[in-house]
Amino acid sequence: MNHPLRVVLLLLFALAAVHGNAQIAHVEVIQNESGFQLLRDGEPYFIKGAGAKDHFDLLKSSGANSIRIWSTGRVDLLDSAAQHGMTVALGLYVRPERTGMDYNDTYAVRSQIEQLKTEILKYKDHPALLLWGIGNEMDLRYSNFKVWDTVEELAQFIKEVDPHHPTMTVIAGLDPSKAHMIRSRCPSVDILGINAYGSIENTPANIRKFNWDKPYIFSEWGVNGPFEAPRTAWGAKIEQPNGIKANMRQRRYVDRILADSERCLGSYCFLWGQKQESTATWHGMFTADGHPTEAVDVMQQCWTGSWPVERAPSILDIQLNGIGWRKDHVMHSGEEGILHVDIESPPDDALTIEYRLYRESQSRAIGGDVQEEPEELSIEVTVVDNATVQFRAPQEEGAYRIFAFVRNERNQYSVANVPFLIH
Amino acid sequence: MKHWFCIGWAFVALAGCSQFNAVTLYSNDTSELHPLDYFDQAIIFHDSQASTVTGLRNTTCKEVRFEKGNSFGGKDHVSIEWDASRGCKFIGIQIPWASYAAKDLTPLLDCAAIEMAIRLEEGSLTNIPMFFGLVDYAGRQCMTKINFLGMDDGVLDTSWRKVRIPLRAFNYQRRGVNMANIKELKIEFQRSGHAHIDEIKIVRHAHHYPIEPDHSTDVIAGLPWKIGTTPEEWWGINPRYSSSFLFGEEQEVGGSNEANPMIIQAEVDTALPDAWDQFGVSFSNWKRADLESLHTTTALSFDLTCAEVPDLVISIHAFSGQRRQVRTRLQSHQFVARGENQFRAYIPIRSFPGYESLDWSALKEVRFRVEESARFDFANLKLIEFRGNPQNPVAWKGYE
Repeated sequence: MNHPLRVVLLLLFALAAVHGNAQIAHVEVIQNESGFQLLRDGEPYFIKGAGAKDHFDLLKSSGANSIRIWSTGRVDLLDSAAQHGMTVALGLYVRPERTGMDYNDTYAVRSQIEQLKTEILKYKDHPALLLWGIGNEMDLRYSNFKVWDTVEELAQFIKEVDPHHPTMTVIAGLDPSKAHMIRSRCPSVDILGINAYGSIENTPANIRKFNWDKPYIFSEWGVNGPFEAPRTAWGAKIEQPNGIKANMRQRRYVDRILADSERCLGSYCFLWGQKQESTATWHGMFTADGHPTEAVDVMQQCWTGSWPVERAPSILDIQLNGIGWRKDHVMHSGEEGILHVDIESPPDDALTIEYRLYRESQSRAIGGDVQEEPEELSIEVTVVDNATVQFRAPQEEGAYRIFAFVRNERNQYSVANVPFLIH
Repeated sequence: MKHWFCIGWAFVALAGCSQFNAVTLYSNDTSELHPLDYFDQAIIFHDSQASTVTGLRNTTCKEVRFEKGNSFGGKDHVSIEWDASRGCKFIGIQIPWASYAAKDLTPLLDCAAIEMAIRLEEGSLTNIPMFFGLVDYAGRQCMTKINFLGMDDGVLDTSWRKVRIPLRAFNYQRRGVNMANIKELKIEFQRSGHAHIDEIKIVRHAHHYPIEPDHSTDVIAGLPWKIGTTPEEWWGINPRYSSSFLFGEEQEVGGSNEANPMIIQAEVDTALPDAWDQFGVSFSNWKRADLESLHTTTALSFDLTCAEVPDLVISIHAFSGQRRQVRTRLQSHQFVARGENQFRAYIPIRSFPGYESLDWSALKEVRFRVEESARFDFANLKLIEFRGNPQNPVAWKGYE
């Protein structure tokens, strides 16, 4: 090759390399006198995030800067986040023991590690990558602590091949044994991800009591989960109306997440989307057909400090036959029932209320594992007034749940439900 | 030229001689025979004429057919397209190979694998949602999936690629499957996809991955058992954030095997907002502690140095079980004075209300909550033997 051509090619190669590297943001955790801080390309980066797979436009305009995804199956989500100027906490799916994984089986363990190493190499240079989430809730009902050795090996590998992105492992709530295990067996983990719902109230204090000496992220947070909910006499979980949930989210964000500036690097609210978890509306901030609920407004207030100009309606209370949602409701077959909701909404908004009746979910899945949606039943209602309807209870005995979906003309929703028993 | 030709032949001949090994004329050595050499049911699927496949009925979730084009071997292969989101509980096929004969796989467990050729209709995957089960004639089945290590180049794509599943990878022991009486291979599909499968057979395979022993549990086989002999086992003690509990200077235990060196100095003011009022300690370095065989004859014991015995709520926590904790409150009949401001507490396990329902084979920790403001030193925490009346523990004469 002649000399001038070689020089040109070398220059082009160097330019390409510089250009490629320029897209990779360098993310690091630092510790100074005021505590821990996440830096992205040298700038402080407090995570205002959501567990999200879509609605990225609204997420971005609501003030979020990051999404969390739980596995590497969908590169399009990273691309989409990047296009929206958001970062990604990218999950590496480490099989929990409860799915049948045996951490004594070195074949299964080795295989999983080698497979995830290829995923790390595949995604480590993605411009949207903020940090690695090694596993999610592997501690839930586990018995074999060797899972932490897998986490450490992956974290070590990341340190070797990707100096630009910190490592996190995610647990289902904090307890002293988990803090100890990760501290002692996973020294290459930089950040503890904590999925905390009701337990978010105690987490900032417990992180200190349980001697976790590195920073943490609320990798999932929100309203109290179904596993923490009070139950009716027949075992149905009692879900709060959206309005109560909204207040809870706002308080927790201020009092628990923002307040711990020394250790907490930010959070990912759960869930910027919709999923079935005991009910179709428990954690999701959107309805099943993709419309935002008032939780979206709350997150905008949390992330930006100001409410959206056009607010969603808010159901503050729901009553069946004059009895509030916290109580048990038992009806006879075919009995007439009166359902009433208390709604707060801008005065000029025209509201529509839809009612849906479902059989009670029988799923016993835990930890966010996939649940089947219960069967929807037909229901006929007679309008009594703007916020009250009459309906006829099902003939067949069993556990049911009736939902009220309130929406305005902009298709912003608030939802509430009441479980009831027919006997 | 002729000269060099001769030298070359001589070299080849000599080199060849060095390869020869002496053998006896009537050798009985069968060490090179592999258990698979005695197994005549190794072909699981060759093509639709030579092999039986069931579960071929198409449903809303799956479409199975035998395709002739682009087969790996034989006249055709299995093509299956599936989509679990359409509401089917099971999507799969079964192959009761060797004409439904009962297959004895036990001699092959450590040295053979099921091998097959797979290609995808489109795209590539490192983790395909296919699960493989061996079903015995009692209907029990053990499952596994294609592991990364069993795939050529760790990927499946539109080219035929060989996949191996070691027989050891099936969880037959846990599922109680009789590997000497196997009826069929079952292939289950989840999520969605379109795959082509061909030439399924049992092949030689050296499996170098052992099942390791589980070290997650420490069995407490003898008493006394010192609890929390290192600072790492304690929590609730962090002077950076609270002075409620501090580690005291570790006590000199000399040659004593029974004394616990850790001392906790407590000064709790419960009137203060967010006062730390609780500390805890692992039974065995945060592993599971198994006290199952001894718990009914065991008591928790510790020493207090204080002007006034504190109001303590003591709870024992387990890693698993329907009930995760039992608790009791330290009462006056559970401690004895041992000198000025010196007390020793004895709390029999059987005095914890509901103790029967705790999983004593999976103990995690013991916690102490100070209910009212107090100042005390806490030391020598351990489990000891106790065979007295749980309602009157200090009366037992068997201590030490």
